[in-house]
Amino acid sequence: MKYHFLDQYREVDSFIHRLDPRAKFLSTLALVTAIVLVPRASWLAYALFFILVAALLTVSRVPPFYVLKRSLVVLPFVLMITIFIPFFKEGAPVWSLHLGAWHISVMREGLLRVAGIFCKAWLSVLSLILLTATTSMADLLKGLEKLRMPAIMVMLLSFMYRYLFVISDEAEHLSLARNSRSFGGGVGLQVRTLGYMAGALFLRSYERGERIYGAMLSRGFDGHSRSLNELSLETSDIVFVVIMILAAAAIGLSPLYARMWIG
Amino acid sequence: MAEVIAINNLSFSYPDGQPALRGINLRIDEGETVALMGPNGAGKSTLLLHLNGLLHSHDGTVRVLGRVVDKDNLKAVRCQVGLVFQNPDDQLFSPTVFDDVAFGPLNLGMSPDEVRSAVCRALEAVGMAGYEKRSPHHLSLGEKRRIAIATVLAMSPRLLVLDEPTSNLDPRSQGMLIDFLIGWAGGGNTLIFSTQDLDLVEELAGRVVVLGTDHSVVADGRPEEFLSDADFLVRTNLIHEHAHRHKSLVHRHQHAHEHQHES
Repeated sequence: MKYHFLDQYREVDSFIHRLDPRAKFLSTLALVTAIVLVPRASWLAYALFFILVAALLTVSRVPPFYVLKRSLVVLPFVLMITIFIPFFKEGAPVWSLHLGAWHISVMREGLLRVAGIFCKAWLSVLSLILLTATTSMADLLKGLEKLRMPAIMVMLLSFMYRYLFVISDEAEHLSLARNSRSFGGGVGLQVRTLGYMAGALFLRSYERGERIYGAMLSRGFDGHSRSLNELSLETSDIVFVVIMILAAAAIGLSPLYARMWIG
Repeated sequence: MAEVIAINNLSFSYPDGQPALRGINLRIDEGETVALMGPNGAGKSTLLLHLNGLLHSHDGTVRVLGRVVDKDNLKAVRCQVGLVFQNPDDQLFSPTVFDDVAFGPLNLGMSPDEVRSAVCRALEAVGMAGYEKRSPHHLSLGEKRRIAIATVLAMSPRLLVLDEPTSNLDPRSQGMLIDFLIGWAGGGNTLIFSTQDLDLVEELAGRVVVLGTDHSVVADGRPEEFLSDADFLVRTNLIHEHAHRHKSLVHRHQHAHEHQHES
């Protein structure tokens, strides 16, 4: 089975694709930090961030529809976290319900806060999609390693990327094997079968882990991760990082000047 | 001829008490091409794992190139014994083919230039030059097998040890693999492989070692001595015999144990 959902557009060539993964990672980090730290309800700043990310996405030639589709995946999770905020935030009620002794109100401040969180989450995800869609996982891992991320974490990510698909194939085989022998049965039986499958998958992964470790030992692995330094930081990479950090900071601080300017 | 492997009275049981090897004595000299045969569960893979110290038994000794395999020389032994696992998904654990083939040379402490040329040579030797940037989970089983061999070739081992190298391969991939192995053995190199495939043995092996269901060596000699002895082959479960009925005529005949999986 072929999967490509993580870095499907890494083969597209653009200025963004050619940047060093370290430059892209640091820029994304700066951008996401600024997005998260910008004061609540700074709608102008959100708009500016959106323009910046959208411009970069356009330059990177990643299809906009793909980006949009991928970015929506995260919103249900945000909704789950924020769903109760409008009911608890103090402020002016925009809608209330009285059920005997119960009073339920939706507050304007709460709704605004939810909208703000949605904007921030969506903008952050867009920035991350820009990073992952334009960088192959192998390059990204090399970049992280060169940025002194602990080797064990880089290895964990690398194994996860490599075996995600192997394990999902295995899960698919297990469920095919179940479906070919399963003829209904109660919910209890189905849940139990699912439990067995999860257990089988865990055991297989555990055993595979041991075999992989054996293969690593066979090739002289001694606990130290080694790799070739194939990345080279060009002037354009450094210029890009500097511009991105300045732009992120400028937009992040824009609500402050707006206040000074107006007030 | 110089001794490459000397196994002296080796017995091994898995931690759960299940015996896997019993009183194995085996000496393999430089330049020999040895096929390890035997039914499922006879201990073929277990024996191969002992050759580079991935498994270690306190009962009996394994000597590789004159050195008894123990904790202090594991790394040196593993560099000289190129062990290729049956499932290439266990052997290829890196995000790209290049990284995988470079893993061994990097652990040997080669310089970046040496690593690059070792990777290049190894991939060329198995006919996979140009696959450096590909990621292993997008390759066919035949391609993965050849790259798995390249990962150990890059370390310039003194002998190659392969676990079921042709199992599950389509005929063309099998042919390419066998051609490579013939080339390797033809260069005077030592080759040890486990297999169920009598055709492969006939084509490649200068010597056959048969493990029996009692986990000991039941036969050891030149392939010509066994391959014509149908009774022996049936007895040791290398081929099997079953009855056919053609109209009223019942006759028995033997089948080589050869598995061709459609994929």
